[in-house]
Amino acid sequence: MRRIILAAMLLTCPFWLTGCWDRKEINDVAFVMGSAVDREGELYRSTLQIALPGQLGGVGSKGGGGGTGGGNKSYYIESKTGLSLRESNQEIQAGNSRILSFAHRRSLLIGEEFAKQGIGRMMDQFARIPQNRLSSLVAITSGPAYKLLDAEAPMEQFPSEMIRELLAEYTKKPDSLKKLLNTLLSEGIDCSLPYIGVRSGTPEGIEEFKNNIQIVGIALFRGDKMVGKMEGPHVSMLTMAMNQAPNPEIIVDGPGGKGHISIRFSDNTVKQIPVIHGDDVTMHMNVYAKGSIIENNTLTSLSGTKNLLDLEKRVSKEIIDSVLSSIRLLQEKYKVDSMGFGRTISQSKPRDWARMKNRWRELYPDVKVVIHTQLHIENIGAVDKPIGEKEVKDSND
Amino acid sequence: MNQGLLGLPAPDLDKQGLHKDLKSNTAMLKEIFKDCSDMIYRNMELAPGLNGLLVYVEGIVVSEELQMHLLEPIIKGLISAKEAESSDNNASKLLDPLDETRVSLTQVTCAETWGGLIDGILSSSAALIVDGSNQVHLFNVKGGERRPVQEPETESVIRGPREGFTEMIRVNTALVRFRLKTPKLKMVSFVLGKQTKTDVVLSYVEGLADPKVIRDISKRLKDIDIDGILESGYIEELIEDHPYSPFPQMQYTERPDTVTAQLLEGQFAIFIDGTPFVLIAPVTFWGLMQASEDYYERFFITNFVRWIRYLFLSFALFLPALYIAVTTYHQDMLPSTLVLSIAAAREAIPFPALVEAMMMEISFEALREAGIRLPKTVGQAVSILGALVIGQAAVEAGIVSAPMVIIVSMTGIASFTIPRFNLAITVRLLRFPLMLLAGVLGLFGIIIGVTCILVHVTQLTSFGVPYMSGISPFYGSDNKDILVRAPWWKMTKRPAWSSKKNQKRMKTEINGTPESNKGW
Repeated sequence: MRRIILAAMLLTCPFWLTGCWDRKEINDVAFVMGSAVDREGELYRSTLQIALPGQLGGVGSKGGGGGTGGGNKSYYIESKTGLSLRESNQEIQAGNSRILSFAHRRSLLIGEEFAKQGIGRMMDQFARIPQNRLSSLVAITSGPAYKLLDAEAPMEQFPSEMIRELLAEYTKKPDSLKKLLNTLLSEGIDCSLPYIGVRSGTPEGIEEFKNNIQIVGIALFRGDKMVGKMEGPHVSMLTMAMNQAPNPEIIVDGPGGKGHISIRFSDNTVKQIPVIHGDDVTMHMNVYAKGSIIENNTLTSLSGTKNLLDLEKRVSKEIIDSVLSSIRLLQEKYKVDSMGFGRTISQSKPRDWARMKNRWRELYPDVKVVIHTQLHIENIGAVDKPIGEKEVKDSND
Repeated sequence: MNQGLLGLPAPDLDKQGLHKDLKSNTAMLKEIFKDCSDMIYRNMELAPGLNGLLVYVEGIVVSEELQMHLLEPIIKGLISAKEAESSDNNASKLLDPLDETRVSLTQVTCAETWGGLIDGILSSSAALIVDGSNQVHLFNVKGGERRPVQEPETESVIRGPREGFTEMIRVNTALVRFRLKTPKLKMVSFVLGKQTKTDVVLSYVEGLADPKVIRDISKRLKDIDIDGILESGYIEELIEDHPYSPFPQMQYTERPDTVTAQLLEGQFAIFIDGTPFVLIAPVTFWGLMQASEDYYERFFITNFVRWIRYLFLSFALFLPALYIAVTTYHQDMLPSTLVLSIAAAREAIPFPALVEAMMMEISFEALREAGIRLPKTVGQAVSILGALVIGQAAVEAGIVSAPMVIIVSMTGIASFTIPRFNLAITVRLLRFPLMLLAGVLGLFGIIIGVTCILVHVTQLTSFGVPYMSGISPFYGSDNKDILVRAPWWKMTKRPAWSSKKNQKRMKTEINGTPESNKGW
């Protein structure tokens, strides 16, 4: 028995002698909620948004916290430059009393200028150190990225959290670091990232100017370099064609060009079917979408098969026009395969792909695109005729 | 040197025979029971010219019974004998005190030695010493004031019998006998404790209990050599397989229905006089997670409750340790919003998480202990102090963080969901080493701790039965009553580990579809 006790005591010693291993209390950690990467000459500028738990309303910690953020903000921003991303982060660490933890980074913003020079080399440290979660969502900013980190986000505790929510809602499969790396490394597809910027939220001329963070388009990459961006009305249809839009909405003119009808597609998929004759590639895109009418401010009723079929026809035309014009832009202006036509071919016709692989950049602009739509407008809503109008002449009667 | 009564050196007293002379017997008896004011000596004439002495201990015998069935018949006989004597000289034959027709008590025994006499008197018998005889008659008039059968306080149920065991062993065995009307229910008697002479009954159902286990337990009981047995705990510690294991290897219960159910599953029960707690063994870990009501309520709710119990068992064991590990090492594991609210709550706390958790858990245990020991009237003060001081003031003063209070209360509630108190104690104790390990090595430490516990538990046995029986070693049919409780009509077999030979509880699966509805 004595020997057992002695052995047990000796065996327990190493536990206590290790001195609590790599203990770091939660109050010794500075949580980086978001970060921004910019280029400054030859240097990387890293800007971190660091949470101030003291400002988050914990009991007994009123008035604590501090930092450069000041005021009542629950975060503060720190920015440093360095030869590499890691070095600039280390510079920030040097001026911070707590250990920086990147595991809770909600979003990673990359400045437009930085992205134009290539994002591939910066990616290494994200994968090398597992503490850098690959689940951070990535976006390209119009202008320097650090400006967005300090933009107003009244709904959330942190602007980075707001950006994350925006990005997560924007696509079916959010653009995380993991997805980005995946696309960067696969062949036959050029990556595209959400393009965010600050837009005014108040009419012009009002004194108190409110700026809101907003997704304004898609940043297009060739390889790891940003080559352009898509903005404007075609973006939502382009994302739908990329099979990425969760609930795209389309607006079409009413019959006779009076008023507008909004349709929301709650269920949509796009399938690419390549038809290849030698170097002549035709990509058939089957758009299948189910939707409902959200708003009808024309003066006509939409009930009745004829009206609906008519509407579906017009919507279909709108989609085809919109997508085709976007794709034309991709093919001719930017020459980027953001739709992943190459990947589709590599997956469904690997033999043809092996033949075309090396010439794909040349072949891509000549790919013919044919769009087939299969639309179902299933729900015209709770009211038949526009409800705010007294008398509507029903053309169906 | 042989130790005699009261541990005094009285080598021969136990086996020494009585004198024939009443006077010297009386003197001897009074010497032995010197300064025992509860002894009653009553000199009486048994027959004309034949003197006797009735001796008993006041309070542990039923005086009315003694009066009605012993004293009255003797005196009546004496009177009639005296009347007869005046007319007939040969009547003294009638007055043989051994004559069973005279005394209407059922349990009469004889003793010839001092040892037997003293044991008898102290075990609630009235002794009648007759002049000129070295035999003494012992009339069992056991009784006296004891607690009546009441609802068991430690194991209350919503649905189920309200009877609980009392301190009287015969009442307790009777409560089981009421429920098990079979001659196969055996009640083997032992007397343990050199001075307490406690009645102990080993009970089992012949044909269900493993004879090897019964032989083993009988031997272990006989080997007990102690001066007193006051509670089932004495016996439990003296006979268990692994005395150094923190895990209980026997179950105790106050409920006769529980004992009956366990006997029917091939376990044995040990009744101990003087305590309402009956020991049951062999037990498995899973058995300790079952409550009697599991079998009285319908199986849907039972399953639900059982899963809650297992869930909260792991809470009781791991929650504080996990909290420590996550807040001191693995902040990355939590969702961002959660980690921030914990960080916000901990911002002003001066202690590391481990110290904070230890402080709170220990004061919680102290609070609970104080609540148990204190008189009920003062108990309320303790709970107010506990709730206000530990719960609120400590948080507001910034000594303890609010999440920690939540963790401690969750742990407390969780440990109360374990139906068997002795298992709950084990869990309460084991969470402290786990907390230390978590504080030193984080999750890695918890895993080391869990591995140690698992290794220990899987090699543990209770009277030869593996503690994890059913899962390890795996018995398929036992799993109907481990993580789930199958409906009764599915549980056709008894547990494989306890009743190896006679496993059938029902012939076939019965379920209640009426004959007329079959085919629908």
